[in-house]
Amino acid sequence: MTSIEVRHLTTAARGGSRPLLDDISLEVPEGTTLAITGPTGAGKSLLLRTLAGLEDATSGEILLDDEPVTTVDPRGRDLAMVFQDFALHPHLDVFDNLAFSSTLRRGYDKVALSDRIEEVAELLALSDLLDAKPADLDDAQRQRVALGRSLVRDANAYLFDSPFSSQSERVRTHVRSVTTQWQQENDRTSIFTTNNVEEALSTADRVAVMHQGFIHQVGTPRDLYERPADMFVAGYLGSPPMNLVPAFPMGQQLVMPLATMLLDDELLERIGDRGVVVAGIRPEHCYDATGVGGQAVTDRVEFTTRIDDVEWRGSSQFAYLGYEIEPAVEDLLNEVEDLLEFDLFQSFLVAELAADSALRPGMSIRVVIPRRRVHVFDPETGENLTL
Amino acid sequence: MTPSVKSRLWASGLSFALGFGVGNYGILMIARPDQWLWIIASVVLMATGAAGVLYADTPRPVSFWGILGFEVFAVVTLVPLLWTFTVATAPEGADPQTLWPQGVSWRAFDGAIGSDILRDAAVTSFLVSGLATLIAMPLAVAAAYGFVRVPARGKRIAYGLVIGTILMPVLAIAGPISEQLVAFGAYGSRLALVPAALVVTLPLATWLSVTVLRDVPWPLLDAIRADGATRRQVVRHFAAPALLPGLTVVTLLVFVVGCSDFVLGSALSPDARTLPLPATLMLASGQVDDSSAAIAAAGLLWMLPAVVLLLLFPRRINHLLGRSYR
Repeated sequence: MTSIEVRHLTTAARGGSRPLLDDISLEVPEGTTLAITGPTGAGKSLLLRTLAGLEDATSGEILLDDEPVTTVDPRGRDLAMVFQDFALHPHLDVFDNLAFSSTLRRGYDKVALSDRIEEVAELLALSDLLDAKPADLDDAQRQRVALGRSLVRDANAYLFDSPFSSQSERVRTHVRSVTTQWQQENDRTSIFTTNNVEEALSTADRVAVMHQGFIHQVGTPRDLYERPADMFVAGYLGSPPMNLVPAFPMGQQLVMPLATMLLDDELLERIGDRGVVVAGIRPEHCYDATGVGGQAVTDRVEFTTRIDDVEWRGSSQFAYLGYEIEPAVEDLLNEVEDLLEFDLFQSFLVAELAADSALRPGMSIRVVIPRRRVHVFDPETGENLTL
Repeated sequence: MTPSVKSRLWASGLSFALGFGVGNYGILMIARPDQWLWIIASVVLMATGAAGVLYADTPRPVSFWGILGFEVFAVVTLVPLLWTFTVATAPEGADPQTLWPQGVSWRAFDGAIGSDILRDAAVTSFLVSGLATLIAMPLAVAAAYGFVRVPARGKRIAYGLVIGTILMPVLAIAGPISEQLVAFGAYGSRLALVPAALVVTLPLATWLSVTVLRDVPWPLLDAIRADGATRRQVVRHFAAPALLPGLTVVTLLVFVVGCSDFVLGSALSPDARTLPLPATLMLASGQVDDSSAAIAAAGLLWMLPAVVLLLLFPRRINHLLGRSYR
């Protein structure tokens, strides 16, 4: 298989506005899977199309197995690609669609190809549809055909643009699992895009978070989730996302809307003379002080507040804890959101608590947060000061 | 009473009244055998009226105004056609007095086919329209590709100009074109009609090609390229299946429309030798023996390509021309 490397890839936008791809550098070692996740319009599809050779970049380099291919045409790059809009041949049946890309190059083994098509069709629940035309299929089936067409093909590497987006929640996990399993068994290098954060975290060896044409962070799913490099990554990953609240350093203390945290010397030094920072707390790191989890926390930040609303989810429940912030601070947060074109801040804190405690809106709750789980970000650069 | 029931009852009432009037007029004023045609039209209209009253509250999406409109449309198109057929097949020396043919003779068709004037005119028409279509199609496809695929400014204005050219009365530019031809010394030549015919064929071909190109699954082109197809494979696996059927029908339609032009043909040809067929039928009728029957026969023969085209590709033509109404 083939490794993929991207060095400082930039695609300028027409009219001189922000670049569509902004100095992107990535490495995908051979046989591994990279997920690129980010909101709609982040530039994920454009990046894949540029890798496949369908779009030209303004500057930068693309290397396959350390060989520069930036000026090589799509045929020379030999990268299989699944398109977001499926791009099936309307006049060919499912079998011929699955076979199509493999038959474009001479010297393929017809029997082996047919066997591989049967195998992939079986995996993707397409065996009964091999004689059907794309017009007779629903979107989920069409997407599986598009996916199968790439899986059948023997290419240098595989690019999947939102390959599971049309699958129903129930089928999606299965399709995802058979796809990754097939790719791993064949030791294939893959890149897929998704705006489903859980999909990115659960499926890939490494994840890249992309927004506004810029890669904010690349790393293992655990690394990204636990040690987000900046405020966007912290706020984007997770469901519900990380609570980001304005906080004010005052001496040795960090004063947040609902709680006050003691700062250690190292963090205090990093915060420096900043008058305001943003504290990040994951909902699942908020514990009910009276529960088992809460009692076990030793180095803690705690506060008591009123529950505004409760959402019971079966395995857990979300408690919404509202707070007020000053208009001047709110203006600052709005500026940050405008710059990022993304909603990061709320006027409430979400706590994901055990499902067994009987919580009701209006009741009072004492919440405990492990101190080492609180992230602190620079509101202007977004940098995570706790790393 | 819902608005649709009320509307259906109005359509039924009008249909019945129209049928009643047509029937009475036919019985009182028209002699046989045409009287039967009037009675048939009357029965169909009155039956529509009755059906409209009986099924006014049907939950099905039936428009009785639509049915009535279709019936009126059928009458106003079929009656002239039937009259042309009756004139064309009238026995020698007989002047047709009734709409329904009294005796059918195919002699006029033989005369039309055998007439040198008409044959020359047909060749001129085919030649001029064929060349104008052949020149227009590559230009039109390139322009349509630009309209559909290239993100350029002013596309809407350019497309508006194309539509405007289709709607423009050709007669308005016939004068200036003939002056130009005289200035170039090309007035009176068959080939001189070709550039003028482009005024008809080029915008029409562009407009129809835009419809074809809009329906092309363009993402498939990227997919085929990403699959590693060579240029030849792109043509074979993408361009041929996606474009050829639609563009073939566009070519034939443009050719047929080009063949039907009589305005430019009659304005730009000084003598009968270079007149295309529709212009010949209009202007040179005195030169053809037994003119009215022969002209009617030639007109019917001239309709054949259009009829064949409609019968061969009804769905595609309906899609091309009726797209905006769906």
